[in-house]
Amino acid sequence: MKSQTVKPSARDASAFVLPRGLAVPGVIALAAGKLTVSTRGAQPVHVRYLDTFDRRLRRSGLVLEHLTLPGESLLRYRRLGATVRLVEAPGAALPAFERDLSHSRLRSLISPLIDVRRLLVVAESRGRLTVARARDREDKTVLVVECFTARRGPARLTVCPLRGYERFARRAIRRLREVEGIAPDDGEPMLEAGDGPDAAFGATAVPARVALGRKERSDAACKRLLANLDAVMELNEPGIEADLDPECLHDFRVAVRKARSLLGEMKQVFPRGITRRLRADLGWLGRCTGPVRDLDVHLLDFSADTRDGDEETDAAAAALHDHLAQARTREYRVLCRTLRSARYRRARSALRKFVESELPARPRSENALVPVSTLSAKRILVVYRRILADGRAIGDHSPAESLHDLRKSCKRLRYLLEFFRGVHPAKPVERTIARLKRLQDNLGTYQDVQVQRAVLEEFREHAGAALGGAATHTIDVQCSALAERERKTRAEFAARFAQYDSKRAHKAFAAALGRRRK
Amino acid sequence: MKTTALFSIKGGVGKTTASVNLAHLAARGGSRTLLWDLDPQGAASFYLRVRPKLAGGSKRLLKRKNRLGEAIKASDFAGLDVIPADFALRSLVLELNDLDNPLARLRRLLRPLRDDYDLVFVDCAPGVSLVSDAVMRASDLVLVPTIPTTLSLRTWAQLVAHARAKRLDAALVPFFSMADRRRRLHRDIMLEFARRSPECSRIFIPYATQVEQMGPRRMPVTAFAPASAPARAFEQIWAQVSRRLGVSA
Repeated sequence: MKSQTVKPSARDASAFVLPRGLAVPGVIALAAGKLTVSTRGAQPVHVRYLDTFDRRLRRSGLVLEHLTLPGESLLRYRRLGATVRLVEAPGAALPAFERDLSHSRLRSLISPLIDVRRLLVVAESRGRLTVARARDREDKTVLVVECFTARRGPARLTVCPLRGYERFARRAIRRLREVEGIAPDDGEPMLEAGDGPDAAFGATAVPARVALGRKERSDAACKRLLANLDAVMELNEPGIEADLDPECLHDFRVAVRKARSLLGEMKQVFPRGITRRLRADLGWLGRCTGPVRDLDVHLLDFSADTRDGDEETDAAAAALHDHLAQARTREYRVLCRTLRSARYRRARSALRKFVESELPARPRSENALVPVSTLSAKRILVVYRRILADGRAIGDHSPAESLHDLRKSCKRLRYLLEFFRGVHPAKPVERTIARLKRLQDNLGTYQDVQVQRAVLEEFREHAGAALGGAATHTIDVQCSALAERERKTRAEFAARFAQYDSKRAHKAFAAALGRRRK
Repeated sequence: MKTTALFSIKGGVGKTTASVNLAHLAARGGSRTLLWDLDPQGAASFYLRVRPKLAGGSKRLLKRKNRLGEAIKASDFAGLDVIPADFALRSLVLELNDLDNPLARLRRLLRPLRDDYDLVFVDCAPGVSLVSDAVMRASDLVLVPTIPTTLSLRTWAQLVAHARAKRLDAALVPFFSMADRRRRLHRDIMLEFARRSPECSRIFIPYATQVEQMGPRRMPVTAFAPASAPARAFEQIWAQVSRRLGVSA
């Protein structure tokens, strides 16, 4: 008797859970009907589920799984809970970063989600996989049936339809539904898999954005923001210590900078002595983490810059890369010592204690009780005006420092806008942030390129001769490429700033603060 | 979606071999690839084990909206689908002739598939016809396999003249196929042609038994003998083509 009246969707693969004791080859033969089935039998398989430290794929409802079978490997990308594959890349090695994905479509789909983050093995399961191919008279595969039997968990059978041959899948699904004990599989294998080696990192949820009330007192609002940033620092600490993903250090540094900026910009909200001490600690943390981050950025850019060279250039580039990697290892060791130091523990616990302390009923700081929307608007306006004044003063011959100072001011404004976006009109704030971001991109690139050039020039001075002519030549080529990029970025500055300093931008900014522009 | 046609006025020059192998390489690299077998002989369909049958023939193909999508069959290789040929395609010229703006018809047929595929390879039948003109009009690139013989070079010149006369705006790129470097005539012709036609690819597909093995094995040489000389040559040609089309190799 047919148990289902609904016609199964042939475009989607369908999954079933097999009861214990049911022989897999028999079920596959039943699904295939009269078709000839070829299979290598049950092969041992290791399935690794990949995701970033902050679970970007999982949060987007996506699953990236890597299968290792004897003599072959496979990457699959699918939606969470679905069996139909968005991409299947046979032969793919276990990737660590987006750049390791040779499959162009997979790379184009994943790249916007994970950016430069590392792919960690967050879950894994081992078992046996049977892949059966049912073939027609042309010896063409018209249906694929897979059965995965995990060491722990049930045997899962998936009917995979092929475009143009959906009718074979429909028939197979119908036959399987008629068998007593075979049930539809509503589970998600990833959620049922065991922890992967990197599961501990980032398992905690990323702290959500702090929702502030417009009339909330400023000291309470700022303390909540600081508590959130403290949580981000804590979340990223294990990733830095394990050196899993350069982005852990980046996120940690951003949280440190934001906390320091918040304490500096929201003046007279907390007692002056506390603010000064916390800012000093955070400043120290920023300085300690800077060298490793600079080298991380350099190494990331380096791999993109040095492709397609000839053999000699490639060898020299590899030597230079090794030098940078070694420098990074040295700096990283220093950073690890810092993270284990008493001073670090003191600095972190001071911030923790402060954010966890009770708010005074009668604070002595002048702005503590001012509504956060009022105080933040005032501070945003001050920084905004400072940027305009500083940016307008920059000409073609202004020193690089003036651009760096402007970059820092832009960062302060960006942080303020992001902290307090909830207490000001949303759309104009977003528009102002978008415009500011474009200016920041220009100033950030200018800074990065200058730092990278300084590192290379220093390397050429100290180690270039020992490496030989080819290495010196490579460094020269890289330095001139960076100099050219620096020149172009600098030339673009005026246009970027003009966009920021336009009537339209001022209007959006005024709207962001709920002010009418005269 | 980029379209590449494999075309030559002459038959037996390696159009089908090239289209099957290049399509396989494109799919292996991660591009969603469709191979449209427009040759009524259906050799590309045969190599990929797809039954050469098109329900309703070419007439239905041209008339019904998204009929092309309905005709697509998955190959045995991930990311590579096929529109199989049918012997009925021999009358495609007559059917195209009955339609308005026949040269734009194939491009219009492909349009509904642009979100599904990154690349389309069209394996054309030999000879100049309304169909080949429409394919050239619909293609971003037309690869022309050429055997290093005097007659092949003559047909290349005829093709260039025809494309110019008909204003087909086709980007024609010849490359040598079934070349035997041991033969002096082949070497001389390749050198002379490369000198005269800068658009000619410097990569050539060597004459090799592995290519002939595609018949009994019914799969691309790049799949069953990836380290062989012809497979490596196809990889190099694909690298050039992908660069030219602006897609990832």
